[in-house]
Amino acid sequence: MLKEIRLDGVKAVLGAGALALVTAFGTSDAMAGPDDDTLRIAWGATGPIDNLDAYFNTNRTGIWFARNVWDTLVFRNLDEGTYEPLLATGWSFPDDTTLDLTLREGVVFHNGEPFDADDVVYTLNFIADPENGVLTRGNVDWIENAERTGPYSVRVHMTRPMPQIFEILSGPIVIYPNEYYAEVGPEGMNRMPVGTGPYRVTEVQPTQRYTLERNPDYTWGSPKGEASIGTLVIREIADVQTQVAELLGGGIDFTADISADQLDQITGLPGFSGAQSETMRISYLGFDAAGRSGFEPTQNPMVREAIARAVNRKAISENLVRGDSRVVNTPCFPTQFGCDEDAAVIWDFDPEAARALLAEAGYPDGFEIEIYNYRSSSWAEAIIADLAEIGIAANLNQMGYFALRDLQHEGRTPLYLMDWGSFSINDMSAITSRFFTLGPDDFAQDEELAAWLETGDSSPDPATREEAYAKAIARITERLYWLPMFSHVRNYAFVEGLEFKGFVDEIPRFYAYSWR
Amino acid sequence: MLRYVIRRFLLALLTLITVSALAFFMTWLSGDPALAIAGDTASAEDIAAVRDHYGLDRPIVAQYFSWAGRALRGDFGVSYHFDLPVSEMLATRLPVTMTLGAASILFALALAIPLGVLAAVYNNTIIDRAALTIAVLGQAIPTFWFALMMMILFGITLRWLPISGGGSWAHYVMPTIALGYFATPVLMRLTRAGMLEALESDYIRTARAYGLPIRSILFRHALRNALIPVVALAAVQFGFMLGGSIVIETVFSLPGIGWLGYDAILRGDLPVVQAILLVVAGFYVILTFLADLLNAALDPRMRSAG
Amino acid sequence: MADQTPAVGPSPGRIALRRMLAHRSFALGVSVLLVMTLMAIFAPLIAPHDPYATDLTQRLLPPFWHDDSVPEHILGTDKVGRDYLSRLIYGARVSLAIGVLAVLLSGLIGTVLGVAAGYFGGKVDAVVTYLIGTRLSLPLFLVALAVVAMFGSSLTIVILVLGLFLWDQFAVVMRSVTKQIRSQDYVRAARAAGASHMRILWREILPNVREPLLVVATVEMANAIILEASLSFLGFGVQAPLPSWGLMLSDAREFMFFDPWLLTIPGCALFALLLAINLTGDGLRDVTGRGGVLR
Repeated sequence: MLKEIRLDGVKAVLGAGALALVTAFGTSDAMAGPDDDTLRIAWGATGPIDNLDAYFNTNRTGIWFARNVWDTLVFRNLDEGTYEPLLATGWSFPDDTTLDLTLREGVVFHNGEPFDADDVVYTLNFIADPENGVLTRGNVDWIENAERTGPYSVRVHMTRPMPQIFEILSGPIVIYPNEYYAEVGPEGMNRMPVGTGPYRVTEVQPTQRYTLERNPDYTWGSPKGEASIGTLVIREIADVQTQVAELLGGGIDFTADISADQLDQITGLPGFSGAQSETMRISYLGFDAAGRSGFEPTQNPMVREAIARAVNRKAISENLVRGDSRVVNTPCFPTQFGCDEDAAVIWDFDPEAARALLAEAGYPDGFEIEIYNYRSSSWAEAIIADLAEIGIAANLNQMGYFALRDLQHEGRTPLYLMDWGSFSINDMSAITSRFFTLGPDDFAQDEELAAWLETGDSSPDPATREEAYAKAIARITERLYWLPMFSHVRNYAFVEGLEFKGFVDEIPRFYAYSWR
Repeated sequence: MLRYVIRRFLLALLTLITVSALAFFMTWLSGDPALAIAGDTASAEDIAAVRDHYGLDRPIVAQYFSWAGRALRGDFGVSYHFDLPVSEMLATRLPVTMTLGAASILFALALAIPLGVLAAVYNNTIIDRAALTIAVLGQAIPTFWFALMMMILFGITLRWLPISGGGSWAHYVMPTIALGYFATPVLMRLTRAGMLEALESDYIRTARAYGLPIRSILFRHALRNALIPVVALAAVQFGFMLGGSIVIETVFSLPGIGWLGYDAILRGDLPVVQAILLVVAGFYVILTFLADLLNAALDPRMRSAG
Repeated sequence: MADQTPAVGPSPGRIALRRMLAHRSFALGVSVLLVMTLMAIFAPLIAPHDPYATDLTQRLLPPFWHDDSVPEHILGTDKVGRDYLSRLIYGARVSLAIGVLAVLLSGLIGTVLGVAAGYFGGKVDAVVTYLIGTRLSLPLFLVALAVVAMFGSSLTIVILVLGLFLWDQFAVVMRSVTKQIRSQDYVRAARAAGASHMRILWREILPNVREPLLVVATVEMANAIILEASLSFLGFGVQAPLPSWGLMLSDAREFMFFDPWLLTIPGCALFALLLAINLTGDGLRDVTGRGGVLR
């Protein structure tokens, strides 16, 4: 028996293929799972969570963590598309810039502190204060201040009308215990997060491992529901291949970082299942239209159009991203508020036309260009091959996300393949306004466009917003500041026996999972 | 001897100062750290504030001296990305890399010394050639490839060993082998050469002529002489491993300083990169210093060669 | 230890050549190296396809020993449908270019420093010893990563970084060899006869350091190639889509559990090249009896 297994191993090593692996899997069952009521999770492909304090983190896994540990004031029902009470049971707007909240009674933080108006007031005032340096200012700069109007009621004064306020209140704004937070601050919250959510944190090894346990006090009828699985052990594993190895080797039970290719292969093995869902994240090819990098050709609209027509987005989406991924023509995800697909100018794949445009633009023999990328190099490599077809020699600059972000802020990237997940906020302001309002990432520097987006972000009237956003979409796609590429998919692989639930906003809610 | 020690010590100190300057200025060249610290949604004012807060607008030489002064007291600043003191991050990571390095060097020695002795005793026989073949093969397999192959075989197919992380001794087995085998050929060659030289020395020949048992000659006399440079080289190799374990730590997600350094470079987290460069170089300088002293103490001829 | 081959009977070159050919592993190493070099030089003639041509509908085809392989792509295709064999053939160019150019650069630096230290001794020697110590105490891989992260990764940068970092062994060996030669009678005689330093260095020293230089060069060439592969593996080496074995290995990781051939093919090529270089180096060491124990 042992000899057989060993032979199998050698065969696999020598390249005999997946078959040998499968036979070997047959011999030992996945040891993970329901027996000890522990779900072992690996994540971290984009690096470990910088800071577990949700306001001092921009990493996606930080949002996953936050959803399970803290609660928001409002709950977004993804199936119905409605907003429901969570920590706040009622709300009203006396005017455009005032919000009155009624809070839920009987909620307790993990450390035993009871939840009341003081916690909400403290949290909101803390994050609103620029001195405290909350990382994503756009999520909080609408808060002027918050005041207590009763033990369970709060009034929030806003700096401006905030049409997408419920997206924010049901997403990034989580409520902290005031006494604990006042005492330990962001640093202490990073070391030991305390919230009201369905899981409480019992162990933190920064950037490596977190242990979460089911919150036994989560019985007050939260729309999120009580957690089913007793313990979550989360490991930060930066390397996706190591994650896969751990999954196959029985070291972990769940990963959400794998590629569609890997998903196919893993689910083909006995003992494993998988799931896939389209996400709000879209890739885009960005052009330095404003000439911040000093590179001539991308400032020419004809060159941008040539590139847009040369890149076979459909082929990349279908063959490389795969699954539910589709070509996106808008500089936002189509389900987001304001993201009107009819407003976009669509650029079809047409290398012949691209070549003609390039010649007309004065580059009959093409040119050399630096393209920047941080995600899977396959996509960029496919784009480079497409560009080579029309005579453009694109040199790939593959680098880490943070290094690329810094280069962008310095305005040094003439052509870049990037993506944005909008923090899962279902509103166009979370993506388009983030990039085209003259900030450090803005390579269009189009003031008229920025003004439209400004209107769309702050107008209380939905129709006005939609109109302004439609103009912005038309401008971005017509002038080709971005070539929107395709939507991403999130691929989940896990051990058989896990009752998995997928959510379109790319946030796994582990409290909704259970063992079959 | 004392003069040699003092001279050697001054050289070590000078090297360390040079390295610290290189570490500081090199990472400095890598772009504006204020951008990296300020993060995703920074405005121009945010960046200016960061520059002010971290003292990034002071003259670079002044910044070096204040950095070096704090580093001497074990204060390497705060990580740009993790809001944790760098010294604390190093303190949790260093033991992992030290364990890995020590285990690897022991593994390498445990393999290299017997093979080297065998190769020397059976000089120019099939055993000698077999040992040399192992050495040549060992040098030709890239560490990361070997590591991946082990991972497939022992981690997935056989499920004998854990694949990643650093929780228990079992987590160190594959990384140790992967890192250690690469150092084996050098140590083996040195053992073999030293043994050959020792076995041919007059002293051993005399001992043989007097009919001392062969085992005693081999182990009590020849090996002891041959091992001095091997141990010294092993110490130096250990220093190399502290800086060279990056690939292995990354592949096995072993939370040591190599992985931390890789991650910090990816993120442009300067204080972490600087601290790791300095600490690793410091270890190397100390180890070579000690190795040289060891060689000198045991072999007076070497003192002049320092 | 410095055994001069006595110049009696057939010329030393002849003897060396005869000994080399008789040395089987050396002959093997040199032949493999020769084949790889020819492969690299004539890559455009040998390679069946353009190594950059992608075909997204023909991704991840298996090699010929699998049932569902395609005769058009003998070794299959990679993640974006490029011919694996063609990339493998072109990859020899990258590895050899890096090995040769990095070693030329580092060999030049190391030899100048080492010979100067060994020949002049005194202060020059002290300075070179200090430089070697400083270089060795810098963790090579970490520094290389940092430099590449700083200046961007490209073939040129990788060659420069490796060339500027791998000179230490050259310097160490050249220094000790030169020291030995300097104390030889004929060098002393030349100096007594009033020959200039330049003349002695050029005429007496350099010809005698050739063999250990070659031995070190093979070791460092293998070293440079491994380092490039490791850097590319971590994504800090040469840039895609350049066909480099290290990059091919890096790309293959995503599929290593299911399509292991993606990993084994470039892995074996790299292994064969490194083995050939090491065998050549070992053979040189044996045949010339020079070089001693090298790292």
